Amino acid sequence: MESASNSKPDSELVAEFRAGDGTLRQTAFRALYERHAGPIRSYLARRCRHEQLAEDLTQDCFLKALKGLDQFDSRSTVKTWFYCIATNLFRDHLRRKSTVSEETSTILDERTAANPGPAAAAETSEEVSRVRKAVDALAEDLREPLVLVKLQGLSYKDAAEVMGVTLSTVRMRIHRAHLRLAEELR
Amino acid sequence: MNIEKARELITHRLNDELTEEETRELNEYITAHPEFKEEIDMLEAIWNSLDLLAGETAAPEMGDELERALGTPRGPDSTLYHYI
Repeated sequence: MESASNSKPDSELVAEFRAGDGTLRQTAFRALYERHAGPIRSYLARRCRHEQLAEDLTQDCFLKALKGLDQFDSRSTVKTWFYCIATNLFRDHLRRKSTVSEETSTILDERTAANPGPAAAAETSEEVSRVRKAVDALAEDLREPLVLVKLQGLSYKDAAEVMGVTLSTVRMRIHRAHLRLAEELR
Repeated sequence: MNIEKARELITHRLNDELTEEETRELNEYITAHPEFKEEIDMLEAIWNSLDLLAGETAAPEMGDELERALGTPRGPDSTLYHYI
């Protein structure tokens, strides 16, 4: 059952977090976490292609958010801000590792995992695998906006903010990603 | 408008990111070039196939460190802006 906090808009939860003490503050943050931690974890899994790393970075992301939420300046939405933190944590990780993880992907596609039945599952799984390979084969500068916009549902404007590039750059990269996928999957 | 620009606008239309002016230009182009329809359908199908990878996951449980931090009274320091 959805709690009262979970039905409030993000801006209201942020305001309650800032104004509150103790329980109210915790409740507001937990509601933000419940709403955004899943998508952030999915986003990080798609970026780093490693389940445990995505899990760890998600926790780090919300630790940073917890420490910084009092100073969040509301120039962007809190959702976009979470993605900014997650993206920068991932980039920090890449700088430390210097390459994207070469470990075998352990990401399970949500629909595959939903177990739709033997025949449908086989067909879906094959198609999912084909699409995922095509996405994974994209250059990182094309994959990043594609994941943010198409898979995470961000607007071009928000994706530009998360990526630290202009809106026109996002538009160009999204289109190039689309054409590359068309070459691979048509 | 040429075919390259029309292809680009198809991408942005699929993401609901077209301006009114772009929408009008694209519709005019499509009307004038019915042979483009097959390619539009292909581009839409490719884009929609990405939905196979979409889907939300439930929030993971909070880790111990985050739980501890959440139980801690607010402090004066914040390291957030190192990250944005």
